Amino acid sequence: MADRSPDPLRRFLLGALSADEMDAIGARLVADDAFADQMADAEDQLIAGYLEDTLRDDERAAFERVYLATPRHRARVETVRALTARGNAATSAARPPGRAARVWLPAAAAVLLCTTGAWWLMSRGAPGVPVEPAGPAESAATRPGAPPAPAPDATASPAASEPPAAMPVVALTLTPLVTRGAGGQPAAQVPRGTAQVRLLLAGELPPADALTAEIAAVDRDEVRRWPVDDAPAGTPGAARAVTVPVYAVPAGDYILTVWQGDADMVQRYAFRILAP
Amino acid sequence: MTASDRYNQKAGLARADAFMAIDDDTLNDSTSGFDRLLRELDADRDEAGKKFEALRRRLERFFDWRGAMAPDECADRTLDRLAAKIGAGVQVESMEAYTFAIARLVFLEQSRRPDARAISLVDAPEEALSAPPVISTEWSDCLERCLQELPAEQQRLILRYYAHAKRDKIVDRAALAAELGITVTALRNRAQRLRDRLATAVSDCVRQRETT
Repeated sequence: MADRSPDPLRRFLLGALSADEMDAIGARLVADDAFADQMADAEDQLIAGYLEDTLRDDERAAFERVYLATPRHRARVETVRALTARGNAATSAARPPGRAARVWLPAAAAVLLCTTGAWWLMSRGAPGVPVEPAGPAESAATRPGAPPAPAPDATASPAASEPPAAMPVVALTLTPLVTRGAGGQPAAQVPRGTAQVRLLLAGELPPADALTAEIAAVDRDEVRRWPVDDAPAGTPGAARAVTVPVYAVPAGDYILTVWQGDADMVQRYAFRILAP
Repeated sequence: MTASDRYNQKAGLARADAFMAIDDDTLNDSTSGFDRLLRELDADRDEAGKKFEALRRRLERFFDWRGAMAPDECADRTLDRLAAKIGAGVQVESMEAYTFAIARLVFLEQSRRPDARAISLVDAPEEALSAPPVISTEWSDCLERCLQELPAEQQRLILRYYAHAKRDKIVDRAALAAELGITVTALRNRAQRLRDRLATAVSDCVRQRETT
């Protein structure tokens, strides 16, 4: 089999080849197990690069726009993210202290991001440096509505009693939109490595289970719907929250509309996501 | 007797779910096509079955990497049409090239379906605007549960495979492959199959929690 640089394989996964090139690679994938294995390797590296934040800017943008457009791929990436954190947590217990400091920290923590109420909740700190909460934060273990953590099982593998991985989250508090254009709108810069954006909704709102959030991109013909949850305990001024994967809200302006049932609009909010 | 049962009985293959998407009438029409397809793949029935499975797996991976919403269904549809063509007497010079030509069409067709759109738009039907598969800590909670349901050996394998970052990873995976007596490629295939099974199970778990 002819040698092939991994780059075309990455570009295939990112949809960055011409139609003819896509077809040429597709034909080989259907014909050649070894070539498909190379593609699997390229995919593994791409996912790892995304999670480790080592992709080039153009690759990262294409990854979020193309690869993560498929629910199956999103599930794959989130599974690898959680497995990596979980696997590292499991192996750190068996490592000497010097190496243990290099793995992700399991505790969630937060840092203040900007003055408009954006917080970055992290599931990992800088290597070896625990990050202390700096504001309203939540962790996987304390999230309201989350089931209690399973009791340690003496018969399970050594990893079984480790805490589940949390995903890095940026939180942004939104106030109801009374008059569009009046005052500044909340904005958040989403650092690389962030998995989710949590929009904390202020104002009078019915119970979360009756609500749906609709997020419309102002500059694109795109609307997506998301479930509404209760805001984390201890969040000042916000009763409900909407959590979305970071790729669902690329840099731009958005209108979030809260609906009760199919027809009753309850509240509207505006926010801006800034480029990292 | 279901269509896949009849197929299994006829073809002698262990795997049934490849043909779940085919209705009875289609199967009746194309059973001879599957017979001929198997014969084209290999004169030996068992070998033909293995080659058929390998082809299906490659198709599924192709559709997955191309971003199809249901790669398994696309793979089945491709094989169904391939069998129908062969059953109709079409002479195929290169099975792989011909299969890809069908797969390419199947992909284009499914890409035009409204429910295949990756991004939900204003005019998409309500059912397409479903909740995202990734929702906060439920993903982690469900992963925990699904991990616990794996046999201990598989649990250890998947956690070790995805532990460590960057350079450590290459060394550790090579060591793990050596421990298991398999190649790194075989280890990767095994880990990726496990990962995808887990991802499906976790997605189902998250969806189930949303509906209850």
